[in-house]
Amino acid sequence: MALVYVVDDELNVRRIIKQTMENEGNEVNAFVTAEEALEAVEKRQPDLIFMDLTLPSMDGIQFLKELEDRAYSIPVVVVSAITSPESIRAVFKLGIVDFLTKPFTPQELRQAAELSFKNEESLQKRTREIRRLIEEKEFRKASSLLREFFADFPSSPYPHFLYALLIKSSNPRVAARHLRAALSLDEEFKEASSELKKLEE
Amino acid sequence: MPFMKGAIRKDEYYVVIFGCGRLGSRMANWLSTMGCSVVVVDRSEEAFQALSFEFTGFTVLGDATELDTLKEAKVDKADVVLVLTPDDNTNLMVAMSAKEYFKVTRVVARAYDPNNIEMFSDFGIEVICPTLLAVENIKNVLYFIGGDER
Repeated sequence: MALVYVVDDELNVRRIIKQTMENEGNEVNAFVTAEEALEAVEKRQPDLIFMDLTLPSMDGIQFLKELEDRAYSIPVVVVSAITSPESIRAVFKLGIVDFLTKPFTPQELRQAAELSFKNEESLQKRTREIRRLIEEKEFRKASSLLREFFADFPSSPYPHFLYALLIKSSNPRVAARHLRAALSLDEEFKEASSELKKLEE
Repeated sequence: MPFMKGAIRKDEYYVVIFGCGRLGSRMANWLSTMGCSVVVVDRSEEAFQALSFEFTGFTVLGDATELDTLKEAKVDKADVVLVLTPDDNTNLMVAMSAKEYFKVTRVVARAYDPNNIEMFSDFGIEVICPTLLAVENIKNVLYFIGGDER
C-alpha cells in the first residue's frame, strides 16, 4: 500500500483520484493548496503526488521547485487542463514522472501511478545491483549495466555517482567530474560530496 | 448485450455524455453516484449548473459537432458514449463520429423522430426514442380502453 497525495483545487478531481487510488488499496490524502500539501510532506513523505498546475496562491511549478529545494525526490504526476508545450516542457524539466491532461480516465491514472512506482523501484534496485557489482569488482558487468542506467535515468544523479565509483581508481579526474555532475543534479547528495572530498584530498 | 466491454472495473467506466440538458445532466449525476468517470460536453456553460453536488466528473465546454471537442473529451478512450442533445441531426453526426472514427464500442443516442431510428441503427448505434417510449407508456396507462378486462 502506497501513500498518495492529491493537490488540486477542483473537488471533482480530488474525488476521482482519491476513489481510483483507494480502489487500488492505497492511502490517499487530498489537499486544496500547495502550501497544505508541503506542510503534509514535511510531516509524512508520500510515495506519489498527483498535482494540478493551476492552484490558488502557490502554483504547481513553484510547488515542484519547492520540493526540489527541500531535497525531496518524490515522484510527481501532473494533472492539468493546460496543454501548452512550454508548460509541459517546464514541468518535465523539473523531474515529473508523467503529465495527464484533464479530463483523464481512471485507467490513465492507474498507469501513471504504476509507472512512477516502477521507476522508483527500478532506480533503487538498479543502484543497489550496480553498487554490489562494483564492490565485488565485477567491473565489466557493472559497466554494461551502467550504460543502460544512464540511458533510462538521464536526469538522475545515481548513474554519475556509480560511474565515479567504478572509475575512481583508474581515472580520478573523470570520476571527480561525474561526482560534480551528480551534485549539480542533487546538491544534497551526501555520498557524492564525501567521495568528491576524498578524491580532491 | 453486456453493459461494458472487457474486464474493466465496474466503477472505472469512462462515459462521455453529449448534451447537459434535463436528460444528460440526470444521467451524468446518476453515473457519477454509481462511481463512473463521467465527462459531460455542452456548448453552453450555464447548462452545467444542472449538475448536482454529487457529480464528480469533468465538464467540457464546446460544440459537439467539432472533432476537436470530441478529442478534448477523450472520446477515443470512452467505454460508453451517450449522445443526448435535443437535435437528431447533431446526435446522428456525433454518434457516427464516436462509432466510426473513434471506434467506441457502445454508443447510445436519442432520436426524437421515430422515422430516424433506422438510420441510427444502420451504423450500430443504439437508440432511445422518447416518442416511442411515451407511446408505450400511454398505451399501458390506457390499457382499460379495450374493455376486455371487464
